Amino acid sequence: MKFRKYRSARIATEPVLHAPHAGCDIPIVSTLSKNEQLLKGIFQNCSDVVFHSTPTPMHTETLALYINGLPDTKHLDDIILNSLIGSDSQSPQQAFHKNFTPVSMSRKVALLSDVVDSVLGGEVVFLFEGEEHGLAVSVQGNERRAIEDPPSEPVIRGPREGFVESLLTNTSLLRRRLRSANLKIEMSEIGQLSRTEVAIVYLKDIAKDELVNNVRDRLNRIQIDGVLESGYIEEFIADAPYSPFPQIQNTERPDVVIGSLLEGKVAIITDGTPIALILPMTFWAGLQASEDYYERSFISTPIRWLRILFTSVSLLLPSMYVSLVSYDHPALPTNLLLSIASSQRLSPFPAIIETLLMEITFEALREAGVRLPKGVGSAVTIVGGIVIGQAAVQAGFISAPVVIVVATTGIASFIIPRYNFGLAFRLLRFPLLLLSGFMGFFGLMIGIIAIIIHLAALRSFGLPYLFPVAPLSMVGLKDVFLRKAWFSMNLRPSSAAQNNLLRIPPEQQPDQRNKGD
Amino acid sequence: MINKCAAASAIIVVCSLITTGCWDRQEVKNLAIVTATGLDYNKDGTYTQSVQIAIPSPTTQASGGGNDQKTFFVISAKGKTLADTRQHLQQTIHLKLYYSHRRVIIIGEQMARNGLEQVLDSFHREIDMRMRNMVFVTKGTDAAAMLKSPVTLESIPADQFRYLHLQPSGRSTTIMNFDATASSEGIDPTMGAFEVVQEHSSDESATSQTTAPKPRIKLYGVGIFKKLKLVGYLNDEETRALNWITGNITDSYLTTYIPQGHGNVSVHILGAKRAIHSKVLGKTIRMNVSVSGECELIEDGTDLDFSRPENVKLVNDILSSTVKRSIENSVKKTQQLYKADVFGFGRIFHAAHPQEWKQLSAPWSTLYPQVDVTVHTQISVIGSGFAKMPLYRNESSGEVK
Repeated sequence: MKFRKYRSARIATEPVLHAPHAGCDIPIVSTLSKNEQLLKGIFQNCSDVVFHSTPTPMHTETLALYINGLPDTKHLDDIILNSLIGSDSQSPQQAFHKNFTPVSMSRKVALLSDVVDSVLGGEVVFLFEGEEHGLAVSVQGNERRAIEDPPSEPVIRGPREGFVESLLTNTSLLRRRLRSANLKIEMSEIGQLSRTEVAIVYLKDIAKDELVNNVRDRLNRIQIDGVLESGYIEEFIADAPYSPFPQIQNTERPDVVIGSLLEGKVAIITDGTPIALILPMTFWAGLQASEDYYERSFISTPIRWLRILFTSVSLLLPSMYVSLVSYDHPALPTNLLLSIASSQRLSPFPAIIETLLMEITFEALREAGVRLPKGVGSAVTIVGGIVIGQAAVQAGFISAPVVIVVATTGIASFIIPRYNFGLAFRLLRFPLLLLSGFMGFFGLMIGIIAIIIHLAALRSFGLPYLFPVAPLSMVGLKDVFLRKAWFSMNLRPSSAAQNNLLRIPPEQQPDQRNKGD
Repeated sequence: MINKCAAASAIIVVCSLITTGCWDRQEVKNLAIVTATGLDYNKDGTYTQSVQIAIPSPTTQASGGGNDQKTFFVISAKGKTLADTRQHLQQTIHLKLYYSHRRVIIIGEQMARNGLEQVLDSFHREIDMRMRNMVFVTKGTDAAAMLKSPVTLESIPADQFRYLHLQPSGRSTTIMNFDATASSEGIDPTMGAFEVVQEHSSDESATSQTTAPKPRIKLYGVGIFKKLKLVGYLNDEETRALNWITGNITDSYLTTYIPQGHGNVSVHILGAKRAIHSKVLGKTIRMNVSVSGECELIEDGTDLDFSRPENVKLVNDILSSTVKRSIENSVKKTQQLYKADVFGFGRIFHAAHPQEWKQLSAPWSTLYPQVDVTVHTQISVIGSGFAKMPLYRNESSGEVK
């Protein structure tokens, strides 16, 4: 059994190294025209690169080089060029340094490749006649989305800020919430062509060192031409990329990131996407919403139970229905059996086929609803509702209980707060459905056992996926099935945190003593 | 290597899915759901088995207030054995007869008198037999007729038996209990008994004038079995007495005539206790049965003043003697007429006097008629329901004794 035979010939594994300006590791020469010529060669056919020659009062030629649209041209004109013209100091460079270092970021560049990098990074590079280094000035334009309510994780109570596509805005959102020098933000670039900036964010002395090192190593190993979204990174660094369960949590909410950092987790923020990654993730984190921590614990705890219940419903209900009506009728109450029998009598398909058909239709509807423009989405909902709900039953295609089961399952699957976690259940429903269609409860149990074995074997950056429950940790349990009040969650879960485990000094419970009298 | 493993396991999984399972699959729509079975014995020595099959209730939109909608039908078949009848039954209906949801087994009177050995044997071997099925015996009819009598207000027709026996004079027996009782020494098993009464429609409308009287099922009492054969019945009142002795009297009413008050009282029994002690006096065995109960007055047709303790005591005494009399009657009936110890006196005696039990001169069933049963009852009314004398009893009627 040699599968190798059928494999196509291996493609050269050498990646196309990012060398858009190969051979330009040469320093800037003092002749401006020569520099210009070289740079124009590099930026050949890049119509958006602007070479702007500016005469200065000192009659030194100055070349401003930038990509049209990236820098804020108004800013550029107002401040920099005016100062250039108005300065009658020794050299334009000194004029720059004198006037604008406080205002904006500027640094010296000595190599042509640095010039190219700066230009591509959206900076303006000034080259001067007779100078052997240029000046890169950052006047970033701000064409970006405003900070708004995160659409994928809305809350009733809690901050309404969501991440945007700009990395710096996102890190500033984090800094604003955690004014501590221990909040470390390590930037690096990933992607040979896209050169996407990626930041590892963690709390020093709280996050485990080996975890941070582990994340760093895994990020450094990535070789790819472009990173468009944090999902690229997630697949590269996840422990089990083929598991249906996500081992890395993602979020749009800065408060969720900060909350996780305080528990000793690590976040990865990618430029160009509002989705941040949080790791390690546990199974239970998939069932928690940020609002659990803002609403009173008395309310949050039963809501968590509801979530756990309905998560299992969304996974098991269709297959339980199929095994009950196709194999294990003795387990049904007689009244229910009779009413199921009366509605099944009208439908032509066996229960497994019915349920599969309806489940697939429902998933298709759901997918259609996500992809469609907003205006059309409602039409799909109406049509789908009528087709799935009434018409199928009245036409005698589908028996009514199946519709109820599918609808309940649908509602239940929407209760899972983390979208990517819900996807796992959405997918696993189908193998379980097939198993119970073939073998009844026996098959269903096999499927459930397989899922539990898989979950127990899963690790997320060294942390067992079922962490506070298996292996058992009493400290962690305060935040799984219950959401204990803040004053009693004194310790950090030891999952990712290494030291500084005490986060809330004990004995702060409001009681009779500190009631005002 | 990984690929090999993955491919191999995928092939194994797919093959096992395709080649296993599914033969047990049985769609609900292909089942005839049996809710009750009736067993009858014919004169020619064959058995008739009738099954009551529930008709899955159509969805509500179809029923336009049709309360006479048939919720079940009954099919019957003859055969040499019960298994034989089952096979004949299956030949008359295209759906698979499905017994797992059977609730009730009705045994016809003839069948019961003939003996239940073969029935029980069949039950113990049947694979889809639930040992917790209730068994009842009919009185005066055969089981098929009982199953055919119409049921209203119940989607699972057999449930009427289950709910009817909850009445104070009802007794429920499951196959399991019947087995256990029948196989133990010193007690004879009973089964709840139902009869079919012809009910004349009471409504005056012209349409129903023409309708024939409908048969209805009525709780009768219990059937008494000895050596797995039906020997007789206890009627409603005697069954209550049985329940007094076995401590099952619950939620029951008791009505008696108070001569001094020129009227009847009804009381609601709230709780009852009983204690049975056995004694050996030379040759005779004596069972002291003492029964005490507390009750509240729920209907008063007398002219007594219940605020007076002596009147309450009077009523208590009369109630107690009523209960005592009924218990004594029942005991006498079982001793003399049926010679069957349905009260389990033998069991109590065995527990209290294991040595004497071993030295009994004859089996308990022959000794039982000579057992001396003395009954003490103490029924007390704890609530008269009167805070004061009712207004309508004016002083002029001046009975008050």
